[in-house]
Amino acid sequence: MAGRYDRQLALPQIGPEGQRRLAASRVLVVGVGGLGLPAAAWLAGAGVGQITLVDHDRVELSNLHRQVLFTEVDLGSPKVVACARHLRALNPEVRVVERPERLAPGNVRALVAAHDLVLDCADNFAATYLLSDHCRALGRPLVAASIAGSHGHLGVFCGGAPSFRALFPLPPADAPDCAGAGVLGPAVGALGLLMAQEAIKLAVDPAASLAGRLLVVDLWHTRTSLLDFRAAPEPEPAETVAILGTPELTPEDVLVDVRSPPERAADPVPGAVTAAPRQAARAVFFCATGRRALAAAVRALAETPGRPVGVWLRQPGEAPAPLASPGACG
Amino acid sequence: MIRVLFFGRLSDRAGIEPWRLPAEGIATVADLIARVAARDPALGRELAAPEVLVAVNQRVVSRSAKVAAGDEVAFLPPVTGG
Repeated sequence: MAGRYDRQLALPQIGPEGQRRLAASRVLVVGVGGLGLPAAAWLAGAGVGQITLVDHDRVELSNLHRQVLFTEVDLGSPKVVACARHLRALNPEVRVVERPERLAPGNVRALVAAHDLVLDCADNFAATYLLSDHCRALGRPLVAASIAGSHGHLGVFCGGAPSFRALFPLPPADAPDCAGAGVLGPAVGALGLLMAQEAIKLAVDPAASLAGRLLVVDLWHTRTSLLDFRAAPEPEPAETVAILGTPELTPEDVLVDVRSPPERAADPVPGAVTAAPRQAARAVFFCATGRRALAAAVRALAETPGRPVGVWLRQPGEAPAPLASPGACG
Repeated sequence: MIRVLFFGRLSDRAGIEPWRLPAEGIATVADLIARVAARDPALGRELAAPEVLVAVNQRVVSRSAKVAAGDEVAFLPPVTGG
């Protein structure tokens, strides 16, 4: 009987040594949606040693047009559980770890440190900056891709290449995302598969990867371009927005709540203001997911270049120190 | 001539065909953005946004980078989503 990996073992780029390297690699997949689901499935097929899935969402009907490895049976299940079930059925040799939680300042460092490479399949810039900061600090390669409409990009950052912040120091103040812009399944799936391809190259032959390059695609007009950012300098901290967890807040920070009045009433944060002050103190913006907060921080930085700004990725109910009790929420 | 490519939402406005602009009077990326703005002010404003990535001959550069006849300049705003 032919073996599971015969067809990739036959490749000169893989062979027995490459297969051993794949089996020894631990890959962190952040976001199990249109990008992360196919990326994880193809990595499981290839025999990656460990795949850890991080996502706090559940499978919804509006996911199925592009997240086609989920089925109607999975509706309502945590995405990491439904995806893990699929991966284990596909290849029981792969260790699959389910983390049904949101990527946050409190868990990102340990997650990145416990893996050899990271796939950013999330759908917001705050998560990408958080992953980039920690991948850079820990020397882990980061494969990051995004798509909105038919416009997408994919690059390999950190681990010797410049970080995502070197390429994009600031996000747009009004970034479209796939919820806002819409997306077609094959377009996002194609980028997800290219992420898996980069992950395999990073595991077996990093020199062949897209490290320091950005693939830019328009998959409606089928236009592509490959841009080289290996010489891009890292930005000064004053030119960027810090992504902060509760322990990183200081008593001097001015917390700016950019949520709607009903959200504020339902989950108040004592001491927060609702508009950025003019004073020199660091303005730290927060909302429910970080999306609106990051846009507000970018606008504040545009109004006053060089002023210290940050985004607090706050969990529901969380309060700044000294009210916070680390570890109490388990 | 300078060949100018627009990616992402910029191509919704500028089109998917490259623009060809005379190189006379253009020494840097910033000059090129000013030339585009003279033809299409709204597009010029979009190019001036700090998040827009600039590449000259497929290499990512700053806005002070030099541009000369025969170069290809690409503009790309980042997207998020997946």
